Amino acid sequence: MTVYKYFFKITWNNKFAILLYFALFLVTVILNSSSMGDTETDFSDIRLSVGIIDNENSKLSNGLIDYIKSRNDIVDTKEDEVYIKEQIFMESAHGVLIIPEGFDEDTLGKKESVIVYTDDRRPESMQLENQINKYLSFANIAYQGDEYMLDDVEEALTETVQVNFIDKQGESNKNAIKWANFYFNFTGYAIVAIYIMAIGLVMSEINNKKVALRRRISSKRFLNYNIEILLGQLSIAVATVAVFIIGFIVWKGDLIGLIDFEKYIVNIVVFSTSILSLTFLVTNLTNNRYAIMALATVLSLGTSFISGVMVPQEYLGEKVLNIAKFFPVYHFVKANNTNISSYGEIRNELLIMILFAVAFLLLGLIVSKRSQRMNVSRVKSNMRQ
Amino acid sequence: MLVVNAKNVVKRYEEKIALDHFNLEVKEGEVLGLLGPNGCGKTTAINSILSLLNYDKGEIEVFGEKMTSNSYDIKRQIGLVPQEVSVFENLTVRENIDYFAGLYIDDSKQRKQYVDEAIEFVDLKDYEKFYPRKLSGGLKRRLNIAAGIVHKPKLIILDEPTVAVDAQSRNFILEGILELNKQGSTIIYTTHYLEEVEQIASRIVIMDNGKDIVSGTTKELKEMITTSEKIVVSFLEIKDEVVSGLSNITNVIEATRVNGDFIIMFENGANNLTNLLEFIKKHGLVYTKLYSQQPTLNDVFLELTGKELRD
Amino acid sequence: MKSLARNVIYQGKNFFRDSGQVFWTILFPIILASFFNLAFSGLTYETIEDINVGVSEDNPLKFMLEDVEEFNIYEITDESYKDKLINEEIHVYVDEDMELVVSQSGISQSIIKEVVEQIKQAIALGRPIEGTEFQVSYIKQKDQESNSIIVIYYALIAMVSAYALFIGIETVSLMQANLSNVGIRLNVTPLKKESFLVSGTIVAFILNIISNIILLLFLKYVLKLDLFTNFTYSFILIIIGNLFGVALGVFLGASSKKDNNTKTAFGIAITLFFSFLSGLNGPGMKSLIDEKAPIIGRINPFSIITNNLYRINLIGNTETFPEGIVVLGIYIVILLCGSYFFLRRRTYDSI
Repeated sequence: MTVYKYFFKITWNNKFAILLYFALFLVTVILNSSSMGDTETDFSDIRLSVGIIDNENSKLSNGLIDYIKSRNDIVDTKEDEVYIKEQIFMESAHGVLIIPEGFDEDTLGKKESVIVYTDDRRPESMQLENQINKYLSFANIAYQGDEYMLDDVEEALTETVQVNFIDKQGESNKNAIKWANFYFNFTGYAIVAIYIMAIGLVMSEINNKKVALRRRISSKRFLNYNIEILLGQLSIAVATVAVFIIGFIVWKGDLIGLIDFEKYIVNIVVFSTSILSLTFLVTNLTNNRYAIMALATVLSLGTSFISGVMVPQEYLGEKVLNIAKFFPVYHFVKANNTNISSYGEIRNELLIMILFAVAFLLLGLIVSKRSQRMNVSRVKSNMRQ
Repeated sequence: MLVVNAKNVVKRYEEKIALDHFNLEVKEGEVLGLLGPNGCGKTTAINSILSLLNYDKGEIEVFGEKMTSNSYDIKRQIGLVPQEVSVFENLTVRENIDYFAGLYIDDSKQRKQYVDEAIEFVDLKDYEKFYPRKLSGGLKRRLNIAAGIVHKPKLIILDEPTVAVDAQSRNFILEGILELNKQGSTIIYTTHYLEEVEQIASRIVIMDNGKDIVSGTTKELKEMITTSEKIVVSFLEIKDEVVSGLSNITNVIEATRVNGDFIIMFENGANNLTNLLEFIKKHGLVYTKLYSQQPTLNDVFLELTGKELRD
Repeated sequence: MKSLARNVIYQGKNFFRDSGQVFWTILFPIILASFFNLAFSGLTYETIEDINVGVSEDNPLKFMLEDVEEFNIYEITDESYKDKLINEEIHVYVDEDMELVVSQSGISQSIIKEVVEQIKQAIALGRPIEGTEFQVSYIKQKDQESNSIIVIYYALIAMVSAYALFIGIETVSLMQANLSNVGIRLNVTPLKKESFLVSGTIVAFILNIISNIILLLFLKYVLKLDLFTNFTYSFILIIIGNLFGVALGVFLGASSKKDNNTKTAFGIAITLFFSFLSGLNGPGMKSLIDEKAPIIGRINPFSIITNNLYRINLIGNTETFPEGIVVLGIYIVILLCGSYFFLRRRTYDSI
């Protein structure tokens, strides 16, 4: 087991950097899933922070403002485009309304009458716009005899629709499941990054030392050497997965009863093996620390983006998802997001990840064998000179 | 003039003493071999002299002036060939040599000439455009040397220049050092290979455990020890009573048996071999091997320190 | 002066020919940007594809719902709607009390809920309604570029502007006798360490600016993103980012005796993490920070660059720009002073 011990020694030498990666990514995963998990799963509207400026000050405008107030939180704002855009950028306001002079007239004429600043790519902005349009439409419908009958409008708008979940118990589960999904999806991202960075760091040090060359042409069998190296990498991998699972238990342990915790574990273990194989391939392809770091970031951040980690899979385009399928992260995310009653339902995803694992491993072995031969021939030619 | 004058230098690394009142005098024009086993402090001594390391006690003067890390004028006259190959990985052979030359020589014409001469000197003309990683070990060492001597310094220090180098390149390097000396440079040269030192050093300083033990020419050193001749003989057959008689031959210091051979150490004497042959004849022994060896520096070292030079 | 130029050229060649590093600084940001672009290319929050709605028998809302093109209405008379919900054959079931039953929450369900709610409210209003009433938009939309998505590109630019740090680390390592072999040799030459360091930082700066420019050109001409309206201020920011990177690299190199791999790994970890905080991996982290701890946006050097790039180019707000420059400047000074403290030692305790 000398090779394994050596691997561990190098790992220990680099413990500072590796622990740093663990810490940083753990924080990243927690922060990210915190922010995304905040979205509600029930059907009440989210209260937004809205700034309002009223330059018309009419019965209609006040009515609109009251309605908006009832559904959202009002924040201060200024009639200064730069200031407003800054607020929206820094998220101190989700939207800002400016009611200009001529508002009443324009509304009556069914023309654009309100100026709205929002981040128009966020779902919340649609919600605000809907509220405004609805109120004004209703107001126009209730216009009679030169007057807006706003009390009627207000009353009508108190009607709501009850939404029932088929499975009553499922409701609180939904929230928990959402948290778990986000957490473990981001963990997948972290795993790709950490495996390649940490293991890559250790492997580049091992491979760079001239000792490696001598070992390659020693009598130790090629396969034995690689097995012990894999064992070493596996140790780091297991440690990583453990850290993140423990992280979840510590942070959101109370949710474990509400989710199919076992599914997530199984999924993450299968996924890890595919990424471990990928790491094996990467470290055999290159020793250059910059190339390894670049690959680590691209393969983690890049593929996570197109696989639905940061942006949910439902929102991504068809073409994008098709490309994403060529990488394990996509399938990992899909399996995470699927509520299963039996593993058969995610059988495909698990199978595909295992196939990835095998494929990467084989490729890694091929590359390793080739480079071993190349180095041997170089050593021989060196000795001749 | 003393090119280097180190007096009573003490350097400690935490509890270990690396240099223990170390002294070194190097005269102009000589090739000084600093000989000692691995770990005895040769590189530490060199690095202290060059003001790379700080030391705890002692005085070091180079070219008659106190040596500090700011002594740029003194540095101009020194060339170092460090123990590890120290060149830029992504510069070609020529670029490396030219870069370092440019740190000493401002005039570009003169510099080009010196660089050409240095490349010629180490016979790397065919490899001018190569990157160091494409060179074999021996060629890398040549580059390492060229980068250190291109500016034709008055003092050249080489730290174990032939470690892990094939025999052909080693000879090349040793001859090159002699040539540099002939061209006017004083040479300090550290090694643990005694054959090399015997081959090219005009004066030798033997070091052990951070101390300078003894210094002198090869001949002077060998005369210092009592063993002046070593005869190795092996017999077809010898009875035990006769073996003890070997130690009693005139001038014998010690007779030891090593793997079937007898190694007999003689004091200084003219007839040692004759006496041994008489003994052999007297006891009717038949010898299968018999040769006489002058003491080596290893013997010198062994006697002075009780240890072998080569580990 | 001449020796400075020589050093810059040779040190420059030495770094420029490190193909791994070239890949990292030039190709990597381009590849990453391409991934971002790909991910956002099909992105819409608003696709309303066909939504399957189950309604109870003789449901009063049936006709109104049928009016909406994107809804497919299915009349379901029995309890089978529950299974159909679970199978996702229908997204939503509307019962005779105009209440909804769903099996999960999602965009489709939210949309139906909005529509049904509006219908209910309209009925409550008690006046006759024409369908066209609700197709009017009263909103004058003010174009706000997609906040969270564009920010990612700015965050990427901010991150790579600091990548001069890698050459900074290597330069320091080259010139220290206890860190590299070349350092041993260099320390014995009459070369002043400061010269080597200064020329190294110049090399770092130049090479990184070039790679930044390549990224910017790629973003503009290949990905066709118009990120810059205020070129002057933007370039100043990027240049300060580069200076920050150089200072950070020199400090990292000088402050530790560990090998280059470790320092590089550390440098990558820091830049990556603080870029995350400034929005590199999506809106999530950044929103959280902006809401709960906005001070970070003002002291995290990467946030400073990202936020200000956004402000000066998309909002036209240059008010926070001076503060940002000053803060970055302070960082640079602190890092350089720290480096000086570590580097001023001329001889070593051990090599």
